[in-house]
Amino acid sequence: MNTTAQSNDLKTWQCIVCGFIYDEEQGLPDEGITAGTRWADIPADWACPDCGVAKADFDMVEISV
Amino acid sequence: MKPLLILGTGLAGYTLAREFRKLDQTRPLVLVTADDGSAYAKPNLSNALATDRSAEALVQSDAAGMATQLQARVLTRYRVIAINTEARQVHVAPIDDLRDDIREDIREDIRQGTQKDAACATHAPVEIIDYAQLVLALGAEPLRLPIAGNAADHIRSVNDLEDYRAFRDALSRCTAPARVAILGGGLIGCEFANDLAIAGHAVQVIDIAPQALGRLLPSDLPGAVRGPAQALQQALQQTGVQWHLGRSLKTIQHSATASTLELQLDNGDSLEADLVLSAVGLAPRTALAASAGLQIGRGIVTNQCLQTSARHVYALGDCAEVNGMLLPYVMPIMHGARALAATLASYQDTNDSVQAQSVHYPPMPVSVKTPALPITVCSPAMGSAGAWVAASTANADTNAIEAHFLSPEGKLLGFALTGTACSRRSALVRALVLLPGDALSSSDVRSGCSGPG
Repeated sequence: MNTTAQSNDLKTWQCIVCGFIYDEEQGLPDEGITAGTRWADIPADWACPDCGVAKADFDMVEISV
Repeated sequence: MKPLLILGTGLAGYTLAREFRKLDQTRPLVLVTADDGSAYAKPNLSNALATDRSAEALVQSDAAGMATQLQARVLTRYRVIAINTEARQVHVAPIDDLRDDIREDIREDIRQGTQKDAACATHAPVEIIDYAQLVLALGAEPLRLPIAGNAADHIRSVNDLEDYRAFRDALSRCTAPARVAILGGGLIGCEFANDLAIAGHAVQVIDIAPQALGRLLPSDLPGAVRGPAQALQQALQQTGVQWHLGRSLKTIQHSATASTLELQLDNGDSLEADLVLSAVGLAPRTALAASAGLQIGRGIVTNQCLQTSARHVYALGDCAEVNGMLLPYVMPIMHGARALAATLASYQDTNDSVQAQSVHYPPMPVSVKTPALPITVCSPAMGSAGAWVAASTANADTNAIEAHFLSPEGKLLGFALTGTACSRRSALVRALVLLPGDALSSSDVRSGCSGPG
């Protein structure tokens, strides 16, 4: 798979509790999550920066952009 | 085993139920709600029009699904008639069967100490729920401004999913683009303004404050060309939003001809709208707790363990006043629910007591979801001495503003970020200094949590 295909493959997710958007392409570099990190690869102890809900407590829903 | 009873199935009620079930899978759990018990994320109500999401699309699970997931009984479309904290009973009835005179009769029965069986016999639709512990997660009610005029009852608010459904339906009945006047340029007002503008509607915002987000953002920012509020106003203006700042709505009248509403401002300006949305703030729902004799301040008064003035009764979320503070938005609910779930799960039937856990709130920045210019604010504790200053001017992106609230000694007590500067949030939260006198970091000793009991 080439780089373009990979970046096209990246998804955007939304926290079901507060609506926070996580864009895999951008990551959250400020929180140590590098650009391109998939939602599945985010550690289980990560919490939504907007509402504080732990990753383990809910599923992010994929949204179309 | 008597149940844990939660009144309310909003974010606070359902989050608490979920946290409780992680710790206790055996105690019966009952939730009571006046609406249909759908689980949804309330913050989405002010950003769902842009993506044309219906009320149904916002529902994550219906009441039956939640009942299964939580191993709970969820009573939907029920009204609480009275709470008896002595007998540890809550009287409820289906809304549709409820007559006002019956409600009063039952209140009187309770005041007189009439036997529960007698009350049941007289008032058939009433159910009495005995509880081990009771949590009030009642939420808050939209504030209503006293506006004169024959169309005052046409002022809407969107505080729950039902409101959202009605508002979206009303929008769809308007000739596009709809002209929408929003009362209040606070967080909800700005989010709706942006959402409606993206959806193609013509938005006007009226606020008595001279700026947007007046309660969150500084009025001016020394050292910067413009402050974060001005940047937001400009960004929203570019999406088509018109501002009427420093203005208040005086009257609202039906126009003689069509379904148009005519709004008159305090300076004599008039504007026309198809819909008027009020977003001027919320007031904690306290009437039920007051009628049960609980201590009420601005909200239902609790200590740092979310215990109310009545034994075995707790309050969580928008209805609560925790140690003198109203804590709006989502994050305090999450922290409160975790601590409260631990308290509730520690309950022992044998000695009728709990190990109360106090809530420790970390810095809780608030995100304003305005895509035109996202904002993140972490307000300094109320009454903090200090001043706002611009932290960076070097950034070429003039929409990326970073403002700091510094104490006289130069310590960081709060911050406001706009645009791409919002990515600085985590770094700044780590840099925040919580003062020893900060109410949110008060020690357990001063929090007044009652230990066993």
